[in-house]
Amino acid sequence: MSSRRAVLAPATVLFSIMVAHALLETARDALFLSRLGPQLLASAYLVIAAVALLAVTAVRKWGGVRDPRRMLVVFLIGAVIGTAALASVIAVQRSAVFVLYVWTGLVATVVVPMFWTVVDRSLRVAEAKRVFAVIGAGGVLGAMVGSAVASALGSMIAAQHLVTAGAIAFALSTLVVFVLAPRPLDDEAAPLRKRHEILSRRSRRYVWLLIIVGLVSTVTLTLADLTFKRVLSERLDPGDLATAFGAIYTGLNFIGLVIQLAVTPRLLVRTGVGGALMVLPILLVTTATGFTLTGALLAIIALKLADGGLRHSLHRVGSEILYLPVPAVVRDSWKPIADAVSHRGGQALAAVLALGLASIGAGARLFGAAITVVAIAWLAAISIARRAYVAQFRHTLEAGEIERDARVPDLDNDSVELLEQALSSPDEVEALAALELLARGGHVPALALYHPRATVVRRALASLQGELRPDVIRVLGHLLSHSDPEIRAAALAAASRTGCNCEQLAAAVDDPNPYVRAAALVGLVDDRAHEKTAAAGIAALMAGSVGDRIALVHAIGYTPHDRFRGLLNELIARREPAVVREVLRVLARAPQLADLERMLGLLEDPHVRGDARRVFTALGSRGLHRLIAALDDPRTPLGVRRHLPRTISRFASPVAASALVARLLREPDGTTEFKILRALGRMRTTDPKLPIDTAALHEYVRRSVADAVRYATYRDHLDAQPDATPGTRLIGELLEEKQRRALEHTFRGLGILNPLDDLRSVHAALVGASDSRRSAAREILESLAPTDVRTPLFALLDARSADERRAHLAELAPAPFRSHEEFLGALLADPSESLKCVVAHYVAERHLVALRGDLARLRPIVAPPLVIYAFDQAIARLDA
Amino acid sequence: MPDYNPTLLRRVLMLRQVPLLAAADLDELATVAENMIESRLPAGASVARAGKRVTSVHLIIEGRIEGNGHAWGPRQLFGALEVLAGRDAAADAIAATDTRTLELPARDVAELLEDNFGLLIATLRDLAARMIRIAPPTSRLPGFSSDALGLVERVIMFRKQLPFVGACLDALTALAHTSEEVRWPVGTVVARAGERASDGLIIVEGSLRTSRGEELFSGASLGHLETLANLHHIDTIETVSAVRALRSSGPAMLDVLEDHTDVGLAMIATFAAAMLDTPNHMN
Repeated sequence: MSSRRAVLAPATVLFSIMVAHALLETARDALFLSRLGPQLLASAYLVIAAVALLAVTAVRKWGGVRDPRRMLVVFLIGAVIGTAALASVIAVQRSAVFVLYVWTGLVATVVVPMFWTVVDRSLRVAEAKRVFAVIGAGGVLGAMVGSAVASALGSMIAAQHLVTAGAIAFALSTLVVFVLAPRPLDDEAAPLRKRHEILSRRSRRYVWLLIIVGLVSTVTLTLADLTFKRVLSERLDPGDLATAFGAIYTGLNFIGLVIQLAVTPRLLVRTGVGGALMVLPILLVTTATGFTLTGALLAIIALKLADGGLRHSLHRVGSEILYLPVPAVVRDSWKPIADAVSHRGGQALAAVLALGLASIGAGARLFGAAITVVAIAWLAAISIARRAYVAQFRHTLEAGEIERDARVPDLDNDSVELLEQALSSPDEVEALAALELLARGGHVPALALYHPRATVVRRALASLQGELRPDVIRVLGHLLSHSDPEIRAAALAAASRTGCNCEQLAAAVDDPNPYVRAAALVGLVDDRAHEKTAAAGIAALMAGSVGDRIALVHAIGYTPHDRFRGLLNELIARREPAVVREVLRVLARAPQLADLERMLGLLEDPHVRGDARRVFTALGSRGLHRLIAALDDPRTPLGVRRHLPRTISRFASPVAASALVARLLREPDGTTEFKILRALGRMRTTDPKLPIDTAALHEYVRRSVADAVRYATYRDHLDAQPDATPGTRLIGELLEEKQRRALEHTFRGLGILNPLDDLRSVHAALVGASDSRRSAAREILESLAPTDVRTPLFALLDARSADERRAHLAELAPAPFRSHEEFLGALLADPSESLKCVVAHYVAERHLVALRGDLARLRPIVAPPLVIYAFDQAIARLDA
Repeated sequence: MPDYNPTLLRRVLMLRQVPLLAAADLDELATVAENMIESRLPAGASVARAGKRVTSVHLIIEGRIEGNGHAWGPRQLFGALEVLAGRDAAADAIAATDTRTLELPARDVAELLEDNFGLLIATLRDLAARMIRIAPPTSRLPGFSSDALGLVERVIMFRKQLPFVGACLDALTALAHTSEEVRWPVGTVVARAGERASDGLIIVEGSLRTSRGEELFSGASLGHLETLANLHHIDTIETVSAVRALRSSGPAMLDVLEDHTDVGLAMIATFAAAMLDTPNHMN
């Protein structure tokens, strides 16, 4: 469907419906006020509310809303038949006027919401914000035309004949709906099965909130309408009412149309839905307060102008948009009810309130005071709904996402029992898995030491930490004679922790197995009688194989003592990964033995990095301060620096966060910068309350957006060049990556600023394929992005062509390049080292001697060797 | 009060018993477990249809799935290669008996790997180890001048190697910065059988011979898969002419993978596709 038809077709449908409704409404008001008088209006509202609720409930129960389009046609046919029947009896039956009033309200209650349900199903939020105003304008125009026709007819024919005209108009609108009503979209993001129910529950809660907003708004608007009509009926002759109402409604609708077309779209874009919805209640508070205080006719006219001008334009469009984050399945079944409850229920409440006020003899000014109070409540409700609106989009995104941060649950008695059952399995794999989970919770049972599989027993022994429990000590005695040497060694070492059993240890110093030997030697090192033997044995193990050294460290791990500090450092210096890893495991348990400078160097090695990080964490603030100093020290090797952010993030403290944020804006290395971002993101996700310097992060986000804008503009320029070569394609690919990366940095920065808003999902949805998810993400981003980055960010995300992007970016984008050489010169001057290198290579390959001067001028002095070499190589090729 | 979730705990216990996940972090396993759905497949139920997209990876808890002459039993993963490679099923697969599985939707697999580096590395190691047996084809490199290799030349070379075909330029640039150009005379042993592989090499010029008599020329890569898989060299390899090569260290490769998970995912997809294209592969 073309975009013009997408707007004009529903606008025409609404136009036709509103012409019919306005005709009928004018006839209804004129007949009611002239034949029954305004004192019965409140009762009529109560009856409309009751009938409308019954009708909507019946429709939901029997008709369902699986196909809103078909339902709309059915409702309109009903409207034609009912209105025609009333037209035939209204001249003779006085009570039929009351029925007409109720009937008109009922038709509006079911037909108009059903039309908006049809439209909601056919548009995304971003589209809706653009086109709802025009569609709504169709409605306002229809109401205007309907009122004008009614006014003209009213001066020629009796009011009851307007009812027949209404029936004819509904018949015409049925045809229009049949031909033009839009078809629903079908790619709404499907939530994961188990999240579906959560999303539905949250959506229903949100709909209830919207019902409350609707109720309060309707109470305010109905009270305003009643007050206005009351004043008018007191001042005008009953015979002039039809013409007067027709003329007034025409005027109001004209104002509404102008607002709808000129104000609504702009206001929605500038202030968002929440801001736009605030306008009407603010005007009502102001005018009603003015009327209450002064009783001036001008104030009540101003109140009606605000109501008539905004109710069917800004208010209606904004209220419809509030329903768009609700999944179609919930929206379709709940919205008719929500509309009926909030509209007719609100009218009923207002009627009760009006009757109450009338019963105490309240004058129009007291009505004005009541309008002020309820409008203030309306403002409060909108401010809550505004937050809920964004949250609802967030829930929609979450429902399509994976669960990211699950943790192994804590163990209680039932879970320990479950795992002990698995531990007793003869299946080694199952038992080991259970043991690991038990050990993580510090629940290694003595039972594990009896397991028939040696591997399980060895792992259980290795998991024993701290003071041994009596039940474990009892079993250890039995394991000292185990056939598996590693188990014997562990038992020996573990037993020596409970007090030196020198005889057993001495007997084991000559054991052929290095684990047993090492355990015995380490156990005897404090015993005067055996200290020389122990020292010699330990020296022999040090000089032995890698296995011997691992066994030695393993044994030291059971009793880490200060006397072993030098030995452990010596083992680290040998750089044998398996040994170093074992040493680091010991140091993580005894961090006081660690040499900080050596630990820092080990961060470079991915094989032991995780263990080195554990040692730093165990060192506490001493470790943290050394890491922060290293991050700020330009002499720290790049290979170490790049792993400092994550190590620092493990401390999860305000000091750690502050150090990382402080470094973010001045870190020259791109990889380290990215790692700082990731580290901060992780810290804030884990603890969203962790304080950070938001101003610095805001600045970083701004800078990242500027980077993305620059790369996008470069790429647009490159794409516009004729004759793509492999060289330009490589540059283009790199620019695209750079732009993507800069956007990722932007979203990560925003994610750190808003840790509860899952910006990662927002980013994924914005660059993903699903229109509905992108639409939801856009709304969330709109509410979160600082105003100074919002425009360029959306220009990057939304623009469909280079021209459109440039038009939105305006002065943020680099100025257009006068020549290809000037463009390449800009790329050579870019901060990105990889881009410089690729462009230098391209310049040499194409022999672009005009750029030799740029190459010489922009050749970096301090940069990685390959970057400097790229410039030297290019210059040499140009000179050759 | 402890946060006791028996279902999650049982699933973690089950996942830990899968060889592929033996080295993964427990919390990473909890994340996978949280995203799985328990399925009961009656005997004869269709699990995959030939020519149709495989929608889930199934971890079999009990029972058996059969298809294309293979059978998958408890603790085995069905559909993993197809999902990782984004391929359709080659043949129908059914539950051979009443089968209970933990099912992970295909669309979540890449995201879970991207989010959980331990899982990504474990998967990559497993696939790299299996790729060694497949012996990926080599593509000849363009001729380079005898000057030292620049950054762009290095990036071009990496792009022609199977593990890096899908890698982004940013990642390859990072790898290029840490790589080193080496030159060896004739008769140099560059790798010994049984020695743990710690570097990947791309031959720029010259030739080498393996202890099984296979000749390696310009464009051939050696040691990348072994290094990724953390395995030993199978052959001793010796230069038969003067050789110029580009060497990347294992730690540098791991660093690049950690910073660019998209590279890891691209490697996994490439390896999985290559395995599916190999006759008689084991899923």
